Amino acid sequence: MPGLGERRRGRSCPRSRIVLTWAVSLACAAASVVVGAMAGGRAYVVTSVIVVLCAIAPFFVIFESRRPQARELVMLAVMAALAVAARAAFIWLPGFKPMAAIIMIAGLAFGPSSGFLVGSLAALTSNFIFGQGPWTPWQMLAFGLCGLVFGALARRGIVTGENPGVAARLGLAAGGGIFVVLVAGPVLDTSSLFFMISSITPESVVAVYLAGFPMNCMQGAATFVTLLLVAKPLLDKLTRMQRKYGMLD
Amino acid sequence: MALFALEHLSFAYPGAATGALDDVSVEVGRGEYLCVCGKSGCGKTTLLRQLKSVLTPHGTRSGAVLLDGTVLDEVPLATQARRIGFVMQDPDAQIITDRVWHELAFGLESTGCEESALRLRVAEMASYFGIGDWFHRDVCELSGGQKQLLNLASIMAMQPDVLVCDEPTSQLDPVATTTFLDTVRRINRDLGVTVIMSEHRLEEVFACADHVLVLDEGRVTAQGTPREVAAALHAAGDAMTFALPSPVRVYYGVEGVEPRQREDARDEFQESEGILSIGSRNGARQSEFRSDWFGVAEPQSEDCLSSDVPRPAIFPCPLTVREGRKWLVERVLADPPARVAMADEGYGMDGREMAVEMREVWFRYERNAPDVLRGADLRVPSGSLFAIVGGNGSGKSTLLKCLCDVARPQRGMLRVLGHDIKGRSRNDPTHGDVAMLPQDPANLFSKGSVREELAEMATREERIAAVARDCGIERLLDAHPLDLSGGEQQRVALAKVLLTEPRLLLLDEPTKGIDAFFKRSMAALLRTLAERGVTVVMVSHDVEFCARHADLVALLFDGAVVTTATPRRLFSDSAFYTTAANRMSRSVFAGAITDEDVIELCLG
Amino acid sequence: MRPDAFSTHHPAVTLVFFAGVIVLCVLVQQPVLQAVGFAGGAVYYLCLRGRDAWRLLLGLMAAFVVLTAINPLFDTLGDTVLFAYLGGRPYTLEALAYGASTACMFASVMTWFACYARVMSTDKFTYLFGNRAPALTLVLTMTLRLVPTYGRKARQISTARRCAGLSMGAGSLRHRARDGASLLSALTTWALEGAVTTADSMRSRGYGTNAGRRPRYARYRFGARDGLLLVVMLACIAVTCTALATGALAVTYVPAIDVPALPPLGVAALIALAVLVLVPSAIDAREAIAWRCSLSST
Repeated sequence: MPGLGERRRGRSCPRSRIVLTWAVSLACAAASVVVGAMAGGRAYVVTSVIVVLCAIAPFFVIFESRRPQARELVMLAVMAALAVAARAAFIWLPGFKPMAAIIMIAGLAFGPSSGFLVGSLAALTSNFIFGQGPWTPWQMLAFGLCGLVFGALARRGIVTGENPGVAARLGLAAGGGIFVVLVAGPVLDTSSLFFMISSITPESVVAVYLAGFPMNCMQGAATFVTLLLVAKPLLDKLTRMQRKYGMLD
Repeated sequence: MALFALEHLSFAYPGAATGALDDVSVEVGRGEYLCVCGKSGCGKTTLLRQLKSVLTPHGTRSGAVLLDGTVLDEVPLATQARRIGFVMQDPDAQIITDRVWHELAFGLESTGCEESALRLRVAEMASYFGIGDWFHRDVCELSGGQKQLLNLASIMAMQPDVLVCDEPTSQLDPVATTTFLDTVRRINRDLGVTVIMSEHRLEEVFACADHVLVLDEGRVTAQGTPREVAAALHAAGDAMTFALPSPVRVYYGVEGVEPRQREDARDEFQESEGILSIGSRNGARQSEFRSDWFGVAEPQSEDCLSSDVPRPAIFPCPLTVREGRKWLVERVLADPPARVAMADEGYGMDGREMAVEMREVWFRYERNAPDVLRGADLRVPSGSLFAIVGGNGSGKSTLLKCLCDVARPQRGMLRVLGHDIKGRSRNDPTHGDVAMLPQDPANLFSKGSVREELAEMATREERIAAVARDCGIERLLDAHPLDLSGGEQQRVALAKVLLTEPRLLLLDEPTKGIDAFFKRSMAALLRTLAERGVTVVMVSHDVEFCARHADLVALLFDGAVVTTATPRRLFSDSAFYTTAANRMSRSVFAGAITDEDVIELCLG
Repeated sequence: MRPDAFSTHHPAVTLVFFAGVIVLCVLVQQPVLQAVGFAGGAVYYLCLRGRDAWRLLLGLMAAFVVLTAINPLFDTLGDTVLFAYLGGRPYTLEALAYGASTACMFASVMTWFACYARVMSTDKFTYLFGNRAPALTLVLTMTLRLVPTYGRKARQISTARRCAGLSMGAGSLRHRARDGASLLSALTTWALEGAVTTADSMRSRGYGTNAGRRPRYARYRFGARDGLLLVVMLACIAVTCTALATGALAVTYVPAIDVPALPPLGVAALIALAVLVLVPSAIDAREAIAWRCSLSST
């Protein structure tokens, strides 16, 4: 299934502009690395945040420059809010966080760049509610990646959203779980590495990621269960929306 | 030149066999108040959405919509956004931003208003609508009524020439409805803004409209001034007469529409400026409607008219309770009826088993929260249709939650179907004997079709088929639940609830957002259930519905039951919290609470 | 809740302040300045939250101890070996001191972020970025409205389903997960229906019809006092940064602890940082005094 949101947009951003945006952001990141290295001390902590922001910003800049339509804005907001609020649906399972799963579903439905936006906006919003911290940029990146990667997979037809068999559903759910354990979770843990650990040595790196591992496994399990249970119905609902209102088309 | 003109407008949704609108022509002058009415599904929303290009649904259209003589689609969207304000049904989903002040400014920001003018307009609207107090609030904290007023204010900030409202009050309670409609009326009168309003509750709108348009299956069945339309609908024996305000219905029920007069009326109306057009309905259907709907009143009224009592020539049809009262007094003076009181049949409580017994029940939601129920006593006999009425915040919904065991009283005794609710586990087998239909039926829907929804509740095919038949939703089984109209959703939700085979059925505002026709079938269904031994307890703001259909009514105030009585007793004792028919007739008749009561006494 | 006096300043001033303070707290390694940075944050947080502030502050103190203590486990550099473990792995004083420095940075950053969350409301955030990124801030605004709406709706649906005789959140984990999925499914259906209306409402109010710059209802005005405050803050930040860049605040922890006495520029930086971090608390205190005086004079 092609990304629902990718077919027509308010206005598409010219390719040259996309390349330029990424080039500028890459240059910024490189410059901050150089300055950080020269400054020494703990400047690398600031550098790391700048690099993360440079990875997020181009998605935002490109989105902004193509003047998206009302429906696209609403769909992003709805999916991001659902990702944050979905926790309320699983209130009887303490610690169960379905956020990553919903973002992946959004990615499957709307494609990579919208998926990234949903993920990073959801992370930002949830931090507005539960408190901002130095981890905010990393969370935006980690959850953005969930949407981005699953959007890209859907586009290349690796994961099909429509009429998946049991194997495909299990595959999707397992893929989501593994992604959280191996990619999204560790990205989040990286913020602790920079802000809480003085000396970045092989031991401290291993310790930080190992400390985060049980939590990431829980998150991964929640993602697996959520994807298994709701991926199909939610994607069906999004497709129905498109049919009934031409909403995403 | 008219502000808006529809010329032979027809519209069909893609893939639909019949058109949603069929040859609709209407003109709306500047400063006019147009009321569009009709059964749900008659095409009101479709019609109103033709009045703004961005809201027009996909489909095939013929005919023209003219704004100031220009074809609407050629008017730039920015101009349309500014000149045509549109208020939709759902108070919540129409809101865009998270703060009240931002919401007020949104339209102006979008259309590119100058910043200094923007501040002024926002300030102006906040003052006009009395929003000052909640200007900085989160929209989530507002009540439904406040949200809808905010939507209205946000649109008025753009200073539109015409305000289109699509059933704006269907999700509001009566108090909020009155506030909203009064505000619209004030906007119409004070600011001269043209209003086009569609409503299914005509009690308040009908009288203040300059022009009424009645739609049925996409066609105009009548249009003209409210009085002309009332006359035309009665003359045609249209089923829409049910939705008309009480004074109008009583008037025609009593005065009747003579066949001769009817012909005259039609000619006369058609001559008058040519604005009245009665859809050519076939005669057979007309008479069918008449015998159906006026089974009682009609023959008697004809008798009356043919009697030799001199009659004030033609007293104009009353539209409001005030006019109705005046007319009724004159009518009664001219022709004193045989009886002036309706007897209270009573409802025997003695010896009946009680489905619900509640004594001195106190409840609050949180430890430090105020008490919501404050010593409530309630006795509901088995197999009765029991209504609980009361204002906002009187504890009605909480009381239902207690009966349903999702809220446990902190103090007091509560027995439901003979079981004391205290110390009962939630997995008790008797738990399934009580079921509640939520206020918003969509809360029960999570599947892709009605069939799947029903299958979620029961596995036996025959049982599902039987309940679907009872609720009249057999032909809807393959539809998506959210594609259905409010009334249909209500029935599907009710079917879901009935599949648990409850012995006590609880209903939270069963008539909210439902038109007069669905209300009747709902009442019939509830009566059938009660006859089968199911006890039905409903909480409702709808006094008319309770008066007409309930066996017993309890009035709840400040967390306690003030009184329980038959509707006739309760509503004829109160002067404000009662039906329009009672308010209209209380100076001349005793105990008349429905339109039929008043008609019966007048003609008796 | 009434905002404190500092919060009533223009959002740009607030943002510059927090960004400056947090970045400085990260960069500064001089122990005295680090302590000042943390103390300023703690005082302001106490101004904001009163007695409730202690929960966070005590938690951070505990975190400080733990983070300090674990650093020598990862970092064995340092001349002064306190003790050896695991067959001779050294636990050094220098690594402990460096750990304390990082832990102090962490505690300061957390405290200042906690203050930031109180002061920088979503309104201010969206106001600041509204000009630059109108579409994104609008999405954020909408999301912020929808999250509590969906939470409430989820509770309503759950109650409705329970009252209609459907099980909700009882039984085995599997059942609970399944109930949660049904609830989420119902919530999504409802949310998507609402989305159509919201999009219609936006277009109906002219969203997208104006090709030029999007004007805004400006809730905040940049007044003289904001300008003054901004100048003072930028000056303080500039002094501290200069000191940092010229090495006036240079210290080393490993392999040997070397904390030289502050040169004049270092002292200036200390004063500047102290002024900067105490600005919000001072503004609050001034207002409190002004109120007390006006009360006693009447």
